[in-house]
Amino acid sequence: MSPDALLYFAAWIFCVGICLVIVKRNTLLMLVGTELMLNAANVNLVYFNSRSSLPDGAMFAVFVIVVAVCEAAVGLAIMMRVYHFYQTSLPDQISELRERT
Amino acid sequence: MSIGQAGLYFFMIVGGISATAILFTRNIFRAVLMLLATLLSTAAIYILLGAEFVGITQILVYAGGVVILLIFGIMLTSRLSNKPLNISSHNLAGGLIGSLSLLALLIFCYQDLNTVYPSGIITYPAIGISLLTDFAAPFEFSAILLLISLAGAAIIAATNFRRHEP
Amino acid sequence: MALNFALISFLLPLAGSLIVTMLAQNSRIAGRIATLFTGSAMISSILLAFQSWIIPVYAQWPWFQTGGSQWSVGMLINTTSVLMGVLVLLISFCVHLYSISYMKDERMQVSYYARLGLFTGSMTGIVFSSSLVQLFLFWELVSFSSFLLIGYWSENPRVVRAATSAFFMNQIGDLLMLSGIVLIGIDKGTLDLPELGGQGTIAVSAGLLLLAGIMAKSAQIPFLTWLTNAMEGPTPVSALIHAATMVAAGIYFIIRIHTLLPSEVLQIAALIGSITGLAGGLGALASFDLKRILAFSTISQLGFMLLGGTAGTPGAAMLHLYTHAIFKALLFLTAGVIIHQTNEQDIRKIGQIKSPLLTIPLLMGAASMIGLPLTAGFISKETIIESLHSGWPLWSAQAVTLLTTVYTTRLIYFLLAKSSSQPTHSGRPDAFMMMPVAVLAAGCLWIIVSWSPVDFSGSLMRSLDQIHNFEPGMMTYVTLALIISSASAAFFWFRRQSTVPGVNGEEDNFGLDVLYRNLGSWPLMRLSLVAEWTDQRLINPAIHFIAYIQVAWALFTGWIDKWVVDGTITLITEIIIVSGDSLRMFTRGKIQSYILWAFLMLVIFIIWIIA
Repeated sequence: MSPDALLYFAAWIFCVGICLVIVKRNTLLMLVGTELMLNAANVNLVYFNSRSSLPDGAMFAVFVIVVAVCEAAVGLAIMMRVYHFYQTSLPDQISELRERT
Repeated sequence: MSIGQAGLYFFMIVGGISATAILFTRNIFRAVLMLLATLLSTAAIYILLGAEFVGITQILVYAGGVVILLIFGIMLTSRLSNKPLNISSHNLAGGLIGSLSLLALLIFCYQDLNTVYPSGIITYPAIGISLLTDFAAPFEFSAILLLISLAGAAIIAATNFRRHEP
Repeated sequence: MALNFALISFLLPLAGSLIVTMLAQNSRIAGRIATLFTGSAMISSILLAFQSWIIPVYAQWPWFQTGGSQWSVGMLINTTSVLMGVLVLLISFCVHLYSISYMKDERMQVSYYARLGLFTGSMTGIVFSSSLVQLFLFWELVSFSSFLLIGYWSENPRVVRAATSAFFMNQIGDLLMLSGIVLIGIDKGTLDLPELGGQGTIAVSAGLLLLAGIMAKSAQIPFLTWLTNAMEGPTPVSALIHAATMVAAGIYFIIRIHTLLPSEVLQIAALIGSITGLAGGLGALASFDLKRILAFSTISQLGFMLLGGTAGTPGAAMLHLYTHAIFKALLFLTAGVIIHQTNEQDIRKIGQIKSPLLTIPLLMGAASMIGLPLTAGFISKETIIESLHSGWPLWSAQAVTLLTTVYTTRLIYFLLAKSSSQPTHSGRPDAFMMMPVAVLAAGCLWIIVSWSPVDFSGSLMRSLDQIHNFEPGMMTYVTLALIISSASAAFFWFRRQSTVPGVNGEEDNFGLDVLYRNLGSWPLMRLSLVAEWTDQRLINPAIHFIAYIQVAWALFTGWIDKWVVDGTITLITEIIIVSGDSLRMFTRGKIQSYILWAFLMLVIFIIWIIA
């Protein structure tokens, strides 16, 4: 097989993730998109690490997963908080800092 | 084509399709399930690539933690508002342009990439040793980060702020 | 010195009018102030007469300039104008004095005396004017102030109609006269009477136009209706304006410009004068209204004067003007007293007048008018008849004299001899009324004209043009005989009959009123029809057309405004809004937009690095 297929796969996943972050109006789906992007990065890390005997890439992937978990936990907490606060989960309507028109 | 290769392709296709399905589904719960499918197929790819530890961590943490968290989030928010969750899209053109341009850029970059078929399997002892030797500091930092973030998440979600009156 | 007196006697009445208007709040005081001013003016004019009876004074001052022509105002003081000035101011003074009593119950006395003063001043202005333009100015002022005076009782629509008709007739004449003056000005290059006198006669057309003005002013035949209608005004006003001064202004004017007029014009004027004299006499014979009789008599006498002034000698006409003014003013004022006492103008209803205070002035005035010996009227009338040597003027003059005798006899018979069933409302007229009457009655004697009652030469009027050599001749005795016989014949006729057959129903001015009304209304009706047609068919469509153009243009401009002007502005604002919005897009507070833009920048950055 051409190993590049995995790179294409990761690129695809990343693009889907970025697309989700930009396009979806729901905060939850934006979080999902973030997770997808991190996963795509992880796929790349693991794929490139598989060419060497050293576990550095895998280690990096593990730390990325940890950070992703942290991010998901804090993100969800913030999302819940914001939801309580603004009664919405739409990021468009959370525009406190914006100039009022 | 070996079984490993066939599995790789299979999971790549499954992961790609399910990731793409997240984009198009109208049901947010189904979207999270699609995410779970993607994460699991990614874990399978890790294992097939020889990084079992990462793959298992992925299954444990994502499938067991993050996705559950997300599902809880969905259930909580939909319960609170008593209205269907808005999963409509906007900025469609911008998103498509951005993501497709990145895709094109990456594919262009991968054209002249010399690749070697991967070899070797990373064993658990090696990982354990490197975690406690070379990666001891990142390990501890990540542990502290995880602790802080989880505690912070709990505090943020639990503290009862009064609603801001505009 | 003479000029100063002339100026004073001209300006004082005007000043009195002004002061009365401004100062006098009380009606009683108004009359006395005005009388005082007019009396002073009269004294000034008498002094002027002593100053310059023989020696004429002429002065002129530059007035205005048009192109290269210099027009001037001036004063031409000679025997004629001095005589006329004294006459005007004397009659005016008498009328002022009379009005104090006569008008004492009226409401608007202040304005009455102001108008009277304005009239007197304007009339004096005519008398002393040396330039035709200046004269025309005062001529117009006289028309206007007489309009005001006739229309004094403006609550009465008949009075208003009479005043308007008088003003209208006078305006017609004045316009014709103005065109005549303009013609003279173009022809001769000057309008000053002394300068014109040196240039021979004026053109016939200009002379005829001037004659038209004179005819209107002196109520000659086509214009005579305004004078009889003007009897609607107060009686003192009638005495002043319609007996002595204003209507005499025409005669005075023709005497003054006599040398300028070509012989054709003089002949036409004589013809008109004789016709008017006869018509006026017939009118007087047919009327029963006291004031109308006097008005017709005035018309008749004016025609007589015009005849004498144009066919005979102007000096004779001036002499008759003088005596006529006095006796006609006397008759009017006496008639005013009668009307004041009886509230009646119809001679059939007034009844017999017995008070000698009224009968003597009446008889004096009537005798003077008929021309009985020992009166002023005798001398002036005989002078005119003497100056008409022969031919048709003489016979028409005799006819007028005959008519005058008859209608005067009729008037006197009705007033003094005819017993009436109704008792007269007798009451003693007060001094203010009787004083002018007495003065004027005295003025009917021969003494104001000549020292000798039968000799014209030993005369106060000696210096008047061309009449000092008149002697009573054959014609005088013929006329005298005619007068006496006709008077007695008329007396016996009117004992049995109140009218003369054949001259009945002249109350409507020989149908001239009707004629004028029809003459006025028929063309007016046609004109109004034509005007209506023009309005409907020509003007309205034109206006509609213009309106459509306007509307179309307005729509067009509206469209331009809306789409071009507004559109430009809207386009600019839209551009600004769009650019502002597109700029605002980055700071809209939308997280995902931020992400998108940041991400796109990142992609571009990477591309830039790789490339």
